Amino acid sequence: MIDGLVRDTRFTTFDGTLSLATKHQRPDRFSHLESPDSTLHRIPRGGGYSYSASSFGENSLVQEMTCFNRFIDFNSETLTLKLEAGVRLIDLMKWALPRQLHFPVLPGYPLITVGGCVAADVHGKNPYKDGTFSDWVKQLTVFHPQKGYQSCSPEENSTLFAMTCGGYGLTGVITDVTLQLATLPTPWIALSQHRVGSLEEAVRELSSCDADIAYSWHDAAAGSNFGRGIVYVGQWTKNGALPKPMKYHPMTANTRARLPISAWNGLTARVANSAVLLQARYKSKISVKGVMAASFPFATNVYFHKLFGRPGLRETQFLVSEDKMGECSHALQKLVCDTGAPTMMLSLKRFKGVQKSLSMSGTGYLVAIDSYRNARTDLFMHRLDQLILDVGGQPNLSKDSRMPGEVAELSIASFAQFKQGLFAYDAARTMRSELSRRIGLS
Amino acid sequence: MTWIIVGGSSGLGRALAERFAAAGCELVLLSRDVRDTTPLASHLAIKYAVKVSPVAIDLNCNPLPFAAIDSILEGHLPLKGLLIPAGVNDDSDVVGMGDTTLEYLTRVNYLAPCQLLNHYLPLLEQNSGVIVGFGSVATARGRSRNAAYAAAKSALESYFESLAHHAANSGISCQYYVLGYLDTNLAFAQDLLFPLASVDRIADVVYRRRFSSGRRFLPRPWYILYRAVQFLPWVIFKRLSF
Repeated sequence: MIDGLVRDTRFTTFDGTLSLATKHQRPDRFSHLESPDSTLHRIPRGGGYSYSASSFGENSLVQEMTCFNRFIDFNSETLTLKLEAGVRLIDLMKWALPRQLHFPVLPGYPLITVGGCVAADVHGKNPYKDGTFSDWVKQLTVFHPQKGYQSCSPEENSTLFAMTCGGYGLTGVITDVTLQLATLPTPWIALSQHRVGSLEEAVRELSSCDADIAYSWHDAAAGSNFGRGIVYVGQWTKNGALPKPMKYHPMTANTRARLPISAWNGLTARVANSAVLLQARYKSKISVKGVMAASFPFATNVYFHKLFGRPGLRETQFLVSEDKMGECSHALQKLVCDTGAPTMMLSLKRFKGVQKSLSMSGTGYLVAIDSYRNARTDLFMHRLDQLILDVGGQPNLSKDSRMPGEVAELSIASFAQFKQGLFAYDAARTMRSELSRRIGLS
Repeated sequence: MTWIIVGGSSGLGRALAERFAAAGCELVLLSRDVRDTTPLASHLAIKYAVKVSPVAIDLNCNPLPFAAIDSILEGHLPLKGLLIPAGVNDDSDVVGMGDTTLEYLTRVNYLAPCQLLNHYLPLLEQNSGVIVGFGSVATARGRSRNAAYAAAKSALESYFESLAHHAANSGISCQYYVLGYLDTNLAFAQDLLFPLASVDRIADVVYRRRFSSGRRFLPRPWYILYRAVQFLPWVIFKRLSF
């Protein structure tokens, strides 16, 4: 017997490549969250924006936490805010900005929930300066059906805390999170763009800048233009009152995939990338944006993802150490150009941090590659897995819906330790997802 | 000025709490589990700087624990309004159900709201207060499902009409909303014939019309459907399974 209604729902990964139907509960009160039999396999779900199936799985009850979205406590002296896991980033920022506060680690889409950010240990626009999401988490409460509510922090119950940050919901349902907020210098960011001719040039620019926002975009279509791109550098700037509220149309995995076919192919990818590079030549080099618009670029620019249509896309993100980045760039260019890979765009960010649990963190450069899907995609992804292993790269599990478990096991430094800790914590492996099954953690 | 919201922890009740708090109203939130209303009270206090007090009350309890509510209410007086968006339905709510289910559905959907209304009526009359009740389009006609729920809500609607007569001579305002499909946990992730209305939008309408009186359908197009169902010939209606 489960209090709170349970439906049969078909879930799809945000990249559109994996879909399955399973039991779905959206608890809006604690008694509903607790009501399923404690031995029933389950997995928590936030906004549903993960590219991998980390928030649903076969024969696993999905507990969607979006109704647990209340602000619980704010300490104005320490600037710590305790909120429920289902609070969306845009709601956090809407509350924080008028109070001259902000949260520095914001992934690209505003409807991602705080609990999801903790579970995937996401990064923002400058992980070299701000670290990853878990670096700003002071305390968590995790509900496990057989263990009840457990409070944890870096000081208290620290093993559970470390396994939960970047643990993809496998330790339990995060019910609340205490975040460290920062003072907002100004609500405006001056974003400048510089054209670069190669990945190496972008790496040099990113390594030498001391900005609040720093990342690059590159043409990754096979051909002579590979690697040409734009480095975006943002600094807080003064520009008067608060920006107008950001207008956007919410996008979900289903609405992203409305187009029945993919509009991206070799030709359209090259044309679109050339257009982006061309507009960078003529457009003003510095634009002033509100902090929301600068933080959530994919909220207002949804066409890139929507044009992948129902066939979906493949994305891979991996972190490469600084000394291996040159080797990685050459190998990547060779792989893409020699095989005519269906790659579309590539992005770089500089990283600094310590790898833990299943999260992607460490010191080096993040490489993100988006590909449209065709007959060559799977072969390219397979070769890319080998490249990641060859350069000692560390993959982002939330961005890749097909990476084999062996690759994850070999490339994530703390994988074995996490697996051992997880089975010691919950031998029955109550929390299960398609991701956990794929990488051997179920 | 304080408003009592019965069933304020989730769904429409929670949306009403958010809307009224956003307008600066003090609130007393009644719900079965204060673990749900305590964080909501904190949430509203943090966002809107208003005083909100949660009270644990099980509408299936007889008699209702008025002393507990009244002691909290003392710190909130004067009382301006009573909103009763509470309700419950059950999968086993079909003709032939057990007595326990029948009593439970009748008490939570009809008796308890009437008892709350009766108890706070004198206090509300002192302040030209407002009483708002919520029904359902399920009351259009008896169907194979929701038998006791629809009967109890029909009884509540009738009671509110009697209250409207009383209100006409007492200075209070009385409203009754007949609700269609709402985007709450009762209807999430379902393929329904008609779109779900946002509870935030409904709450906004209720707030803006808080001093008016009468019966109204929300969303408005449900009135047409409601009437259409009422006029369906029995030979057709008996074949429908909804």
